[in-house]
Amino acid sequence: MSATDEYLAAVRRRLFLLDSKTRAAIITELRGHIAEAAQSAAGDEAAALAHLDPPATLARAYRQIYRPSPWAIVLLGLGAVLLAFASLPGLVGEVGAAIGYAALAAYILWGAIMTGRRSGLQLAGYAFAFRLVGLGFQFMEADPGTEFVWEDFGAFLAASALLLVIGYLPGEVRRRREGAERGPSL
Amino acid sequence: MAGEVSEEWVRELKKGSIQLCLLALLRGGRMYGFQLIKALRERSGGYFDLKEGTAYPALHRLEQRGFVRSEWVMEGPGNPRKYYTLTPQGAKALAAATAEWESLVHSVGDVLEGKP
Repeated sequence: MSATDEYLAAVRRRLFLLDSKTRAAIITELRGHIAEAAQSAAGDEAAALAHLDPPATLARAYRQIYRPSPWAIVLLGLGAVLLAFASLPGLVGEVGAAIGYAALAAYILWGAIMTGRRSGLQLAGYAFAFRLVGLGFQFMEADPGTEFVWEDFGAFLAASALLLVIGYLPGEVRRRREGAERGPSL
Repeated sequence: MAGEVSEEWVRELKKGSIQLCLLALLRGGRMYGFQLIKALRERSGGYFDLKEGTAYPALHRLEQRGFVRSEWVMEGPGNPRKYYTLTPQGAKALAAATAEWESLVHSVGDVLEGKP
């Protein structure tokens, strides 16, 4: 594998959430750029690569432009739903639910940073909805005499709502910070 | 200039004008990324030496806004190039941005020259 292939593979890996057509077009365009830059540097591939941004920087710039593919959102959403169920005390116990909730929050945070505020909020929305659905099922399945505790429900609701904040805020902060880095658009 | 004013200030000045410069270069006909970066460097006397991490996303953004369109052209076996062309909408945006730019340069010039 050449140095160019390694560089492009690193960029491609970081664009895994984009649809394959967009990702392929980006990589092809960059490959052409590197080939021509090397040619103008008397065939020095290393010199051409030295002038490039790090793969992470370049990929981040593209991720600001292109939204993740619908399939990526579905898969990420599926992960959020599974973790949402793993954060229900009635299913996995108090300790398990705390661990599940922490994992869910971390997952949504990661998703929001990787995909931006809209998709982050979408993931958090799935988690929020399915936590409530799961709680509803638990309540229906509970013994008839089980007492409904409003304080517990309030805490559960607040924790679920916090996920929406986690899904939205990092993406919004990133958007503003990167918008300032990138400069204004025409 | 370096050392007299902050690098950040210079960077901000450049950032605000990259898209305008890219559109202006495309006024002369379709160009591909490497060609645009090179032309921008040469015509600006080296002032703009864009990294591809700035140039390509800027072009893709202009395309999303409808200011440029792109097409793949095969130039030799296994050598596809993505050419960018100014759209009518992009030409309008370029005219408006150029007018704004000239107004800014004129006004700042008046202040710098100390005109009453």
